[in-house]
Amino acid sequence: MEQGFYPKRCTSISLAETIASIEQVLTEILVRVPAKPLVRFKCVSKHWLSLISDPKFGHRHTLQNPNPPVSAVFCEKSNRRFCFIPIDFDHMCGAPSTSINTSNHEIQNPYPTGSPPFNPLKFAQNQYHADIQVIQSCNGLFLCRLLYSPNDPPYFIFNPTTNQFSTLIPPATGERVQPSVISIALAFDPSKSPHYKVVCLRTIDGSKDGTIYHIVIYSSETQSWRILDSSFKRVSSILYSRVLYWNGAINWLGMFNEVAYFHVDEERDGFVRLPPHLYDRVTESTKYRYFLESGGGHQLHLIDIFEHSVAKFEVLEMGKDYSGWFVKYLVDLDPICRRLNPTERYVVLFIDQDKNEEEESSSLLLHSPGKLISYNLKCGTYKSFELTPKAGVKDHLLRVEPSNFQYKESLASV
Amino acid sequence: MSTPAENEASIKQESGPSGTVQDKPKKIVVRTGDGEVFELKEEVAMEMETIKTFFMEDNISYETVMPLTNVDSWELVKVIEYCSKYVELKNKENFHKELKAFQDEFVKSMSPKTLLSLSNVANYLEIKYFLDFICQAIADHIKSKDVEYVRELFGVENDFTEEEYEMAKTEAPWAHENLDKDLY
Repeated sequence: MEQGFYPKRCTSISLAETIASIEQVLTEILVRVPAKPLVRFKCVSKHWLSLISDPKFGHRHTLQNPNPPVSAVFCEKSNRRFCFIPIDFDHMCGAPSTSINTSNHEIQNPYPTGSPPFNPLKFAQNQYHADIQVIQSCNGLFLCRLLYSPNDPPYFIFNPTTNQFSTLIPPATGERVQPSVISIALAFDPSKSPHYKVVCLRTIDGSKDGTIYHIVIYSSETQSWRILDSSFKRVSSILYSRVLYWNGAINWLGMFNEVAYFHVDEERDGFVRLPPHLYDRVTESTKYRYFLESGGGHQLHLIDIFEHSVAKFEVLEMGKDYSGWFVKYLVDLDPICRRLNPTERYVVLFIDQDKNEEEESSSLLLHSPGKLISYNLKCGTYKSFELTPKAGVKDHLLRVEPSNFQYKESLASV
Repeated sequence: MSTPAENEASIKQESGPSGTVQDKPKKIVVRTGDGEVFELKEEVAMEMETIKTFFMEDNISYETVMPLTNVDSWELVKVIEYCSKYVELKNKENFHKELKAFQDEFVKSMSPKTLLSLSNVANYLEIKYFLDFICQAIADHIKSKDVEYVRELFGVENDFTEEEYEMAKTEAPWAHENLDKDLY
């Protein structure tokens, strides 16, 4: 009664048509499989390897899976080592805590095999034999810089899931003066296009502190750079190192939480000022500031954690039309902070949009030594998951830095 | 086993000269690859593009029995079950919720290999929503499985040499961890 995927009996349709039809169905199935299993299934057979590695398949898969879950977080440690925290709730056991007095239950080791978690960025480091610095991660692609390697091109785009990378060489200006890069950023929205753009801001006069900059844009579709005619005035309070892609634009955060942005497709810039009455608040000493894009790039969030009140803070959200920051959530991490030793701290990783059938709830993902904590932003309850150490690796004890990058698995081409 | 001529005769009797055709819902008759004859309600049959095109394009009368040589009778039973339910729920308020409940039961009632057979049938009969559903169900099933399992399920031969396989595997060893330990 059961017949296999490949029918054994001859039919009135020609053999070629049958093969084409099976190929079509196999493609329909595989395009719905997430990126990581697909990388594994490249080992099934040569045919599957060729199908999955085909750029056209990759493009289609990227478009149909634009919002994969965050599967890990990278952060840079001292000595240019990377700390890699896998986020795998299906295989982690957690103790739900709803009140202050809940005790931590004994958690079983979720990783019965002894091998350490593999760090996908290792591939890039081995490739270049040089230290790399992650500038930005955007929907599965990473924009990185090579350090201390003057002969190699300075920047590259890397997809850790497929181990593909592409070097970026911003064009020379043809003038005597070498342009100095103020900022470089990646714009990639897989729900709109399988291609990405890279926006690079450079000073014209060659000095690092120049006040006028021009923009060059790289398109992976055309594999070429364009120099924009207009020049832009540099805003001194903007920290060009803090950059995110959101709402179709590259966004930079300023010292006073203002936002400068550049809409990539429309090629226009804009600026969001902070209302004057909020300036006072911002000049209070900020212990940490988190600039986050969440929910697959649907929201832009800002979190300021102040010295005097580390356990309680606001999560600010930017209006979709750049109308300004508004308070979206109030967070109280007191029960979590009480559990920390004096030398320990928690670090915000990202905000997760959890789409259940019934309701949408957002959670704040935090890391504290040895634990991953998911804090429900709507009701204030939280679940904590033990990060069990793997043999010989003390990753779980490593302190995660506030500057961290989301890793999403994707087949996007670079 | 009934012959086409007999079938046509029995159908002619139903739509007799007294003009009672409009009272009875129209039926479309098909014959599967293993020789069974099925009467489908017109609204269900029209969900299948292949059947729709066959009758609509050249204005073929419903008295013709359409051959579906690539479909087995048990497969057609399942297809009819899904499409009938879909048509029934289509205009209801709780469409998505009720369809999801039906889909869960539908998948539970079948083995992975039968789902695979149905995916080919869904493609052949050109029922887009059914194909989407079956392919998603199969994708959800295999995403946590290892390479051996998938080969068994799809009936695929491993044509890599030992070395080639190891090389392919070491490109991303982290993709091979934390999998279900199912044997097929």
